[in-house]
Amino acid sequence: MSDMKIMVGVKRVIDYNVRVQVKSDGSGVVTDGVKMSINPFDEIALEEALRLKEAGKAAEVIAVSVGPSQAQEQLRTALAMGADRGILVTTAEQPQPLAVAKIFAALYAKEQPGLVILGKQAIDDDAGQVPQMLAGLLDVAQATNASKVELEGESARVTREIDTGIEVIEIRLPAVLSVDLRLNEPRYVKLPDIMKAKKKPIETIDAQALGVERLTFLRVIKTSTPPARQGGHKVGSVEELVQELKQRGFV
Amino acid sequence: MFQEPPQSHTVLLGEALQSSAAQVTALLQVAGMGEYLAADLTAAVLDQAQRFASEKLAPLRRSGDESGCRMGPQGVETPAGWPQAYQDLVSAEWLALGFPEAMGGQGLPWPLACAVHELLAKANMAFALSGILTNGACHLLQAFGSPAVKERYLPRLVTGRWSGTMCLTEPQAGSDLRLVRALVRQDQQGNWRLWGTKIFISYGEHDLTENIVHLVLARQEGAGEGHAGLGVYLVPRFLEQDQVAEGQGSGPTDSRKANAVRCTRLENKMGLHGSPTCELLFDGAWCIPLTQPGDGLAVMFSMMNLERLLVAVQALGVAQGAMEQAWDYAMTRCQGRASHATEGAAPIVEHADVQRMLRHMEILVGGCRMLLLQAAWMLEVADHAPQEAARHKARARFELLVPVVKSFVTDAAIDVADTAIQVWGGQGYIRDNGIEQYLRDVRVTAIYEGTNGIQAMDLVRRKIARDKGAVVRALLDDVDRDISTTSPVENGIRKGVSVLQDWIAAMGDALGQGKGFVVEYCAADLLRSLGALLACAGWARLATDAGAASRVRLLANEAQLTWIPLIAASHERFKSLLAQGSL
Repeated sequence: MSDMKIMVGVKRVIDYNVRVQVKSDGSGVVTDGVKMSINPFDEIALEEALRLKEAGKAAEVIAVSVGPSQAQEQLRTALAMGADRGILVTTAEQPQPLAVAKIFAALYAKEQPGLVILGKQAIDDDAGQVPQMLAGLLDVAQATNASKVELEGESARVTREIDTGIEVIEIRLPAVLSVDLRLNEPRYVKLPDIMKAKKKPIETIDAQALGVERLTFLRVIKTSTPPARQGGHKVGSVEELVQELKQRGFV
Repeated sequence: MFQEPPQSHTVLLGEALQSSAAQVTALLQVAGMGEYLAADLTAAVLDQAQRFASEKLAPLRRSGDESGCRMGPQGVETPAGWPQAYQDLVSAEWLALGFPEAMGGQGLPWPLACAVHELLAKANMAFALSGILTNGACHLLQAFGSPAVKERYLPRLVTGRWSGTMCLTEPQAGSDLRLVRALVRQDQQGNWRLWGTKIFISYGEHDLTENIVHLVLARQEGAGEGHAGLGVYLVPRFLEQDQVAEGQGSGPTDSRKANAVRCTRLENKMGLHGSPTCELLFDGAWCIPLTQPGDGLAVMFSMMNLERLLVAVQALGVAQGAMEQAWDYAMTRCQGRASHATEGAAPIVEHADVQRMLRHMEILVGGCRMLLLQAAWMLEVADHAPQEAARHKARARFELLVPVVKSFVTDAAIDVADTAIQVWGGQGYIRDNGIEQYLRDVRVTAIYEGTNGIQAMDLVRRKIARDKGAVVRALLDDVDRDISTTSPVENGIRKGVSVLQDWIAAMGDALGQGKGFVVEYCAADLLRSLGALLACAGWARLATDAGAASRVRLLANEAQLTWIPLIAASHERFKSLLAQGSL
């Protein structure tokens, strides 16, 4: 499998350090002038792909981003980390998970990667749907929430973090992986690699050219900040607590 | 109404870089400096440098302050974790950013290098200082080293694999370097050897690199007193194979072939504890002359220009760090009811007086950044512009701006660090919280690399008086022209320009009438006024470029409300003192 390609998703999201603000008209969150970064889970996905390549288990790592033209910045960072080339799929509006999955499916058909590695979720919408939808569309194996990945020939042994503990599964390639936080620690980028990344190719494709016309399937009605926390108070006894819970209609 | 916190540091830096490039393009009327900055490259550099700084260096800031450096059996040891962090810094090549590719650098513009140094200094000023000194040493060798010296030392210094120092100060020779006594003479084999004691040598000895290259100001035996006998000599801490035969015969020699130079004392300082400040004893150390006797001070000052710019960068980084901490605290600390709120304790950010302090810090930091980057772009144009005239003009502007940037920014940074303590209140005074460290660390920036008083003398006596104010007047004219065509907030700046034009003209007359003492007495005021005007102009430029950001317009306006009256008042004081005739 040493000639295998790995495709990695790189989503442009608001940086995890930014205090996100809701727009005053409730139509979304403020992104103007806000620092944007690679989704942290996607960084972990990319790091894993790079480690597999460095271990001789893959030949090429392709970073893919779906979004506005500024997502080039995040692709450049991915290239500086070590991805070999980038693909930017531009869309007229923010695509929802199913559209993103369809775009990845179309690219999969074109590129024929042995592995697609994606973050388990993006920190902006926390949808956590694209990997599963993609595996379904492609009808290939999937391993989600991976915390350890070992490639052995035509298959992969994947350790997953699940609610009840740790699960180890074996899947046949090609496959879709979604990665969890503890899989690895993404590398620090060196300045010379940022410079080299300038010369690496980024191909820009419009989503329509991949046959994906419809980008949204859900309508966002309103975005708002969570209600401010109400102050609590101490109760003197269990009786008082039950009384209060009843009063408030909780029991 | 209270304001939200400023943008993240890397966004502010990106905007200031673009904006200052546009400003310098307009001021100098040269081809677009913005072309030097590819937006996606700039963002990638800043983001990655920020990640490195915040994850690798910032965690060592407090611990380094507490533990400091110590004398170990093999020489000076830096705080725990520093050698590893330094290796990581070198391997990521952040220090090589601004140097030409032929030297092993990355050939990126100096303003971008300044931005990266700002991020490093914010995370850990005491640590980042080592890289700044090495950068300065590279600059000197690049300009004055022989081909053999460059070939041997530059590749190792540019990335920081080896470090550099500048050894100027001696106990009796601080601001007055003509008093330097360190002595150089040839031994019987004809090798040059250096004797003397240097003090206050930052990173004079440490365990971060395998070798240290000292650039030493010293007097050649018999070459004369004052500045006439002074030259610059390169003294490696450890000799290389081919240097050993010449170098041996004096001083201790161990397996690493130590040269006869060692640290005899570590200073116990107010702050910057993680940075080893050494007394160095040169005891017949083998050395390479880099200059003719008599050229030493001029050559050292060429290195000093970049160093002074980078000292301002350090100070700005610390100020930014202190400001961020102040905002974080003000957003989360709840005390008292805000005048416009109704119930419960409000985060203190909602109190008007806290807003005043936060805004004060933001105006200083943002204005200083634009001032500093203006100077950095001048350096870039001076080095790289295709037209000789533009290079010449930019060089003169850069040299004029150096003392202004150094003093104005470091004074402002001290103010900002002090204000951050005030925002934190009692908690700011508690050492464990790490806020007062900013003030203790940054305080030295007003002192080292030429005290701010020396900068003021440099401005009036050298940079303005020498050419009868030609360069400064041209700069003011350009500011006036630029502001009238681009900025929505021009009135105050225009007034400031005319006040300063009057001041400089009167200063020339006063010098002619033997009233030099009054001129020098008011030199710090003049320097601050010039810095404040340029900071206002920087804000105005940001307000023009930023388009939608109403916050920036607000701050640009407040910068003028703060500074322009101060400029006018300082000028009045100067005029009154002049009229009075004596002090």
